[in-house]
Amino acid sequence: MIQKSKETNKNIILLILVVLIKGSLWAIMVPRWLVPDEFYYFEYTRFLLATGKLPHVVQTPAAGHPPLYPVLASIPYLLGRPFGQNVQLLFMRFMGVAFEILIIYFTFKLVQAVFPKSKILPLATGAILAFNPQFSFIMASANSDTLLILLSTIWFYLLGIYVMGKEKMTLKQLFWLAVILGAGLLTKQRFKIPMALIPLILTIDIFRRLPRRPARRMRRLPSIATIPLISLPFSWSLFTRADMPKRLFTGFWGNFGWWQYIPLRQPTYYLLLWIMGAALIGLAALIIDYFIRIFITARKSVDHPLMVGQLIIIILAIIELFLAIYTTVVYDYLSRGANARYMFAAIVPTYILLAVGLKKLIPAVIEKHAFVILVTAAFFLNFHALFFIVAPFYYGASI
Amino acid sequence: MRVKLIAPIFVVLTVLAIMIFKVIPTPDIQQLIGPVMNIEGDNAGPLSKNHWQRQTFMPKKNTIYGAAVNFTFWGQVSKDTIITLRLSRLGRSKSPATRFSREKIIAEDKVKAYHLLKNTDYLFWFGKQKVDKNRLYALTLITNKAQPEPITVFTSTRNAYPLGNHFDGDIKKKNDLLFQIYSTSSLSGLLNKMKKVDFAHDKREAAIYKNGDWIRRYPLQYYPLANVKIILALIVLLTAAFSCFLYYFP
Repeated sequence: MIQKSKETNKNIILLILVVLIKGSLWAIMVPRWLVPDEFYYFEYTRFLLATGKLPHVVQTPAAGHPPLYPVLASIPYLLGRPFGQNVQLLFMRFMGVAFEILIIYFTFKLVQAVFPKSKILPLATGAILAFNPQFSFIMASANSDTLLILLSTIWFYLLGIYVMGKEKMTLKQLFWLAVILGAGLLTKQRFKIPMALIPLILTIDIFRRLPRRPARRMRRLPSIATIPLISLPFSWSLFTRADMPKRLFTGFWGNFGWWQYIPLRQPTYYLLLWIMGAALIGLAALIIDYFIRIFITARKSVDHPLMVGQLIIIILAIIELFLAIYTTVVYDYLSRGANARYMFAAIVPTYILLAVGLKKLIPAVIEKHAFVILVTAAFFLNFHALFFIVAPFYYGASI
Repeated sequence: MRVKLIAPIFVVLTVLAIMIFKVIPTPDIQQLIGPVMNIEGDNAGPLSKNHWQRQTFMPKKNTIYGAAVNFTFWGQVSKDTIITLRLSRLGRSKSPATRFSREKIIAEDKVKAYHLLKNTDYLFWFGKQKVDKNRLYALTLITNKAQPEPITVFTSTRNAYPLGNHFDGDIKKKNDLLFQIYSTSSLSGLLNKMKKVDFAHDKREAAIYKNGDWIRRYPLQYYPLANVKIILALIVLLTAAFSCFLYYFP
């Protein structure tokens, strides 16, 4: 047991080291101010420190957002002050890299808690997520999205731990959820995406507190849990607008720059599309499998509670992903300026779905080989994006 | 056991191959200042959906990265106004093209108009674009705004493009420099060459920043830390760390 734990520690430390070095490369290589809204947040932080007041939107458009990120960013800003503006911004970018490390760590811990029998899945999910090129690009920047993604991840982690715990919500859990909720609302309005899971969690908690037989309680679950979902003003026309799906897909994986289209190469997108399609099929098969086992074949199995927890996490992840896509689409409908990074509030649930979907399709015998290949491919995709797409665009060299 | 070794070795060898063939830079750098884009006089004036401004030119080198345009006057702008600079190939003829010429758009870059400030040099950036030295090309400024036009954009070469003043010798004389064409084949050469320019950027940026104004972007900016040695060292470290990660993959 101790041996296992040591191995796991070694693995996650190595992954964190990889994320740190990779994040440093992105932070250094992408020229200043060329990540979305970067100088707005820099200006926001500068203004906050100089005047002690919040800026108006006229002074920086980022002022439309709540102030937690600029408040935190003032630490690297002040640390870098003796070295000049370049280093100040670099330090702010490194704060994003530190957030990224925490995101990967919480992803690892969450997947480990939800799928305790798999040694591969937690590391593979963390690694594949870390190597998403667009995620790397955004996380190594001075942008409040970095903090938003971290808080969303911790939020989902706390919910996941609660769901897997099979107990009523404790005061400690409630306290941390409240802290993250408060911090999220002070970071960006888009925290409403993960926040939308509150009614579902409340529903689960109410059922855990009801002194009734599980089967009878389960019958009422859908009716209460779907209340927040059916209240959404839904229209398919939002999703079918012109090039919307294409822009969301390419922007999710890699479309670097700001007001510039710096895409990955076309075949890369097609390859990713195939992988995501496969994961979707695997996910559908997995959900059907869970339902069959939970309600029919393995009702009295010792693994039954674990399977129920896993299914709830998967359903929560699907709902959060849907809400993230929906919100992005609505933003785009209203302003025509939405960016696929808006979906990153749900990036951890997305990657959990991707990983479990792929795992379902891969036979157990070759699971390790397949995930090693996937992680290696993700590494080279990231390498390719930085040194063969981003760097040549800005520096004009073939590095 | 086999996978434990094969995967890390594959990663190390592949990165090594990439670095040998692609990444390790050669100290070969050429920097060129392109022809002046002259849109003064009749050409300067308001932009609208049906009124665009254009300058034709023959490239002196075979790569174009971007073009800077000086916006001398700015009125009220609406949030959805977008200004585009388009690079297009006109044909083999050396004579100025008409708007009915056969024309192929190569690249374009957009900016939200409200990002632009009065008297601002804005650098439109196309990325690396291969061009033919024997052909005629055009840079065209267009906007998405239909008439009646709530804004007026004047572009002019009257003011020197300030960065030009920080380049060496002969370039410094070109006070009416409006856009620049860079050609390079290596990162290290480019970074070394641009060190002086970056200093100039800082000075200019600081001055503008004081007033709350910003130049939105300069393509050749880099961090002082981003020299090739550090980048290569980080690549080596990344490869080593990732190989270890694969080796210990459960």
